[in-house]
Amino acid sequence: MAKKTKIPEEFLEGKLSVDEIESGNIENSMDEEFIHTYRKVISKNNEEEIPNFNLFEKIAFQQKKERTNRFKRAFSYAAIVVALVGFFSIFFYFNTTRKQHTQTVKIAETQKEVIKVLFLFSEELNKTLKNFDEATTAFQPFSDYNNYKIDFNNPMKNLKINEL
Amino acid sequence: MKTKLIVLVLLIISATAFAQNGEKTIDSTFELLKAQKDISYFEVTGEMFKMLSETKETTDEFKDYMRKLTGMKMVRMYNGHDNGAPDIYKLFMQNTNLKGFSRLMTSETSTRKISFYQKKSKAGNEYLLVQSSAVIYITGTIDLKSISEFEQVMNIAGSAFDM
Repeated sequence: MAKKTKIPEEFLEGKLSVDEIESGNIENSMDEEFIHTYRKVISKNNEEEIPNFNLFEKIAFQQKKERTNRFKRAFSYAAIVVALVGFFSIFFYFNTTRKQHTQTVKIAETQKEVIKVLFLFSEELNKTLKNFDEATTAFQPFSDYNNYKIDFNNPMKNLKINEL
Repeated sequence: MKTKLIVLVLLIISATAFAQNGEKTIDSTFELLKAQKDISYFEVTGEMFKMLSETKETTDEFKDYMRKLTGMKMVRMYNGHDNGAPDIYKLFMQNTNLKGFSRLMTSETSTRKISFYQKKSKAGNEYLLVQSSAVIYITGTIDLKSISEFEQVMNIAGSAFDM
């Protein structure tokens, strides 16, 4: 008959550790079975996954979700603002460029018209002046030709055309 | 009394008629001419001349011309003078008060008549070309010699202005 063991009691009281029991003499199969069972339980417990339970996980997740949503919202607002600003900038740029182009074209047209008018005035003035000059010369009395110098020693004066 | 009233009415009518004949300012006559058939009107203000004198794509000579000008008006017939359109020369002369202007020249042939007028003042000079088919009115500090030289300048520089 196997001797009744006291190891579990001492173990439960904290007087013996499992290693101490193992290093000491195991007097009977009950002790051996106890150690074996204990090891098995311990190893099984160690093998089992300890559930990672975090009390604030849900709150943290919600906070993270909220943060992401907030960022997304802010980003979409910023994108809309940037798009609107960009759109208006392009619109104003093209509008200004078009206006400047129209203005330049108008100035160029006016310039051409001004040139034409001045040219017409000048042309008519010169034409009339020419007519006036011709008319005054044609009706000028001979006595007015004081400024015309007649060279009486002209070598050509005695030249006869028939002798040429 | 009745006779006096009739005489008074006649006097008023004649005075009004006289006022209508050659009493308009040049600007008013231009307004009248503008309203005629087949007429094109062109006007440039002093501000525009200032702008033209500051444009980059022109010669310095042209800029000088633009700086000297303060106003320009022109009416011109676009279909010639034969299609029942009014004689601009006649219309202008009948309506405009040219007091202060001195006539420089008038040239007349069977088909056309042209007169040049000038008014000099401290503020600037005024030049008028009145023709059967066009009237040109130029104001500014420009002199007649410069205007007459414009044709030669443009003949030389014409290609630069694509004319």
